[in-house]
Formats: sequence, structure tokens, C-alpha cells
Amino acid sequence: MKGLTLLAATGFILALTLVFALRARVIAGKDKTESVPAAPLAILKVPIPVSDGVHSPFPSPERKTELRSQFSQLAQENVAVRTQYELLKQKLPVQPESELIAMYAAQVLGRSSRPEFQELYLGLMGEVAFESPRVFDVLIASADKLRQDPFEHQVLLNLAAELNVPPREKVRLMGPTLVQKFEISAQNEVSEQSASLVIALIQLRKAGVAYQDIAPFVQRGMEFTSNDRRANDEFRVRVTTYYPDAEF
Amino acid sequence: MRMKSLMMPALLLSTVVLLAACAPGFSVEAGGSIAPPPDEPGRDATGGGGASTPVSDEQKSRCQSETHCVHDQMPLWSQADGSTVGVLRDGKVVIETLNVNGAAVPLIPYIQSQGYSNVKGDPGWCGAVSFAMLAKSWQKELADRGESLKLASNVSFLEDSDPSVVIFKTMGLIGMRPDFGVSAPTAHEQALKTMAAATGNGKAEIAMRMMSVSEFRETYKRPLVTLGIGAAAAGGHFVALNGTDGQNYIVFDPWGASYTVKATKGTVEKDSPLGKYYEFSLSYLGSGMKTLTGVTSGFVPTYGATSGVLNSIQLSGY
Repeated sequence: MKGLTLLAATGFILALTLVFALRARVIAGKDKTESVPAAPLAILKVPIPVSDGVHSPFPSPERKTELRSQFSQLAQENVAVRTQYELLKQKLPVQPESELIAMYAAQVLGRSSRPEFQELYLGLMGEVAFESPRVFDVLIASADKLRQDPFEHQVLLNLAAELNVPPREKVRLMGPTLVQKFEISAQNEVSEQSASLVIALIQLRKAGVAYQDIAPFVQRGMEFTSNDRRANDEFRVRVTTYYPDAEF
Repeated sequence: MRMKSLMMPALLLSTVVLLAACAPGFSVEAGGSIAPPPDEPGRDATGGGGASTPVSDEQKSRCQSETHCVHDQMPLWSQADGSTVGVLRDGKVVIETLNVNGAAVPLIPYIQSQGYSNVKGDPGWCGAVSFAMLAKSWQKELADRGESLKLASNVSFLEDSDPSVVIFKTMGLIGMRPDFGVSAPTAHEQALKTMAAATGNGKAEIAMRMMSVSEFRETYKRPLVTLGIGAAAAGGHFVALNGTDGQNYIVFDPWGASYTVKATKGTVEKDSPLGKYYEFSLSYLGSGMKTLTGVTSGFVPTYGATSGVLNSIQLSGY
């Protein structure tokens, strides 16, 4: 027994040694890249003009290729990522922005703290930020289709929140989620479609959208449950949770 | 021969410890054994059953309604804050720093300014950002009750209104190096204990199980929870549990997203080399990906389709 304990302890120490060795290697690697000093904060906040052309090559073709290669790797490793990507590619119109939307939806199913994932996600969000107006147009055109599946509906809401468009434009994408009959069963179960109401409210509040901008949607949503007191009350509760200043 | 047979368990044990150090998901007790779930088998993780402790009207009133029970003051922050992106402004490409958390200085440049100039981007801050959302929610709820953390030196930073400050100092609270970006469920549990000690209220615990919706509402009186979705090989992920909506959970993903997920109870295995464990799956609504949890047998709680161990780290009764 003592021998086993000793061996276990030895194993533990070996494992710790390995952890520290790996950390040391990572830190050493980072030190090598530190030869270029970090940019001062002020510089980071100043816009850097790159090109006068509207269709400027940004992100660069190389970066775009790299992003797709990173995504392809994730899709190879994760069948859920691959399946969701293919499902959305079939559902969305054939244009470049659709690929970004499909990649955004699919990566949700493969999230992790791996550095490869961080790089993929940030690269993807960089491209989404740059292409925001066009991604927005595709989302507007495809929103009804996406709202049919609860997962894709919530992807739509979260992606809309990420877009580099004014809050009032985001209301165009998220507001319709409020205009539906709120369904709740006697067993206190919320329907899959109605579950997206809360996600829309969370993201609308985070986007800084004022209540008056969503009030017309809320009023129309209320009308769907005007004959169902309990559903009506539960709908109001959710709105006032995120918008305490809501008036009905 | 005997030597060889003794070496194997020792190496296995050390492997488990190593994985715990680099990914969320494993709960290793001091003795080196996997912590058993504190619940009997057969309890439904999706709701119903389970609640046995009577709750007062005052405790019940902390939920917004019979079917909606969330931490409504929990911020939704992103670990991508401070990354740079290119956008078009008046026909020109400009590089801008993402400021999605609303901080005075976004997260990455803020961390650089705090002595970590080697940080070029997020190396895996999901644990810190998830925990920071939880901790900030706790502080706001305490403030609503008139309780201040000003005198609690190790958690007083939570009163700061700046997200970057709170996230950076939370890294210290959970023992995360900003330039390394790794945290373990046990570190979250320890930090919750520190928070409970600061006010003298609350119980911190860690479980390899998902509580039921009814437990969340009743037994635990709307606890604050982070979920460590393990998968050592895949890197793992942390999310904060915002609350329950009907029969589902709402999670705050530290990439600035929020999703509705459902938990499904799986099977109990008794003869696993890792000891007793429960199988749960956490899946998104309507994604159809839930069926994938059956692809690998046994040890497969999931979030979306990320396989691995599930750890629920919670603070209740605060």
C-alpha cells in the first residue's frame, strides 16, 4: 500500500513537472514574440485609414483562406459543427455572406478554450464586423426561415447583436421575435419557439435599445395572448424583467 | 511484474491530475478520487421532482414568476472585448478595437496596461469571464439588499462598475494568469467560498451533475452557477447559468451570447474506471444535435455537441 502511495505521489510530481515544463515552453514562445512592443492604448483607439476603395481587400485574401482552413479543421473534428454548417448553407441564399452566417452558427457547437478556437472565433468575428451591412441584408432576407428552428433562431439573435450596425437596425432583426404568441403549458413548459423571447430581450437590452423602440413589437406580441391571461402575464413578466420601465 | 501493475494506476492518476490542470471538467478531491455527485440516481434533470425543502414566500419572491427565474442583473460580457477588427467608415477601411462590454478601456488593452504587455489576445478567458459575470451579479444583488463589499478586501473590487477591471481582478480571484488563461472548476469553487466568507452567508459546492429546474428555483433558491463543460482533449468551456425559463436553462456564454439549453438525465454507470458518474446532456433547443450524445457511451455530458465532463459550481443561500 505504501509502495502504491509512493508511486502515485511520484506520478503526481511527474505530472506537475510536465505542466510546468509546458507552461515554461509556452511562456518562452511568447517572450520571443515580445520583441515588438505592444502598441500604446492611444494608438489602438485611433482609426487607421487603409484604403479609399469601398471593396478594399480586407480582410486579406490570405486571412480569409486561413479562416476557412481553421473552420474546416473544426468541422472535420466535430460532426455537429459540420452538419450545422451544411444545413445552413442549404437554407441560405448562395452568396459569400451566407458562408459567414453558416460558420457562425456552426462554431457555437464546437466552442472550447483551445487557442485554435480563439483564433478561429476572432478571425470570424473580424470578417463579420467588416461585412456587417451585407450580413445584415442576408439575415433580413432569411430571417423567417431561420426563425423556424429554435437553435437557428437564437443564432440569428446572437449574431444580430454582434453586427456592426446601429441598434435601431438590430431591432429590425430582433423585434419580430417579440411578435408571436407566447405559449406556456399547464406544466409550466415554454414552447421551443417562445423560449427565444428571452434571448431577444437579453440581446436588445445589451445593445442599448430603448423600450420605446421595441414597444410596438411588445404591444403586438401582447395581442396574441389577449385571450390567455396566464400566457399574457408570463409574457409581461419577461418583458419587465429586462425592461423594468415597460408600460402596457 | 508487480511493479508494472502498480505503475499503471499511478500513471492513470497523474494523467487525471494533469487534465484537471489544463481544462475544466474534472473535479478531483484532495485524495485524488473523482467527487461523486451529491444526489441519488434517477432524479430528473429536466425538472419535476427533487424539491423537498419548503421555501418561504420571501425566498420564492426572488424568482420573477412561477416559470421565469433569472439573475436579471447579470451582465453579458465577452472575452473578445478589445480585439481589433476592420470596418468600413465613409468608404475607408479602419481598424477599430471592439468595445462590446462597455468598459472605459476594453479588456485586452486593459490587461496589457496592467503589466501583461505580452498578451496579444485572449488565451482562454472563458472561465474568468463566466465567473466575473456571476460575481458581478452577486454583488449587484447584495447591493440591492443594502449590503456593501467595501470592507471585504479580496472581493471589494466587484463594486467597480468597469467590466475590464472586474474581469481582470476576477482572474486573480480564481487564480488565473491572464497570459495563460486556464482555470479549473475547483478554483471556481474556492473563489465562491471566498465570496461566501466575505459576507458570512452562502454555501459553495461543486457537483458533477446538473440540478433540476425545480431545484434551481426551490431547494437552492436561485443559486449562482458556473458550468464547466469539460473535454480535456477539446479544451473545455465555461459558461454562466443565468437562470431558468420554463423547463429550460438560460446560459450566458462568455463570447457575449445567450442561449436556451435543456438538460437531459442519462444513465448511471457503476463500474467505470473513473468511479461512479452521471451522464447528462446539455443541448440547445431544436438543434437536433442532442442525438449525438449517444455516439460515445458513458461519460458524455454535452453543451451543444462538446463532449466531456460537466461540473456545476454553485453558490447558494447567499
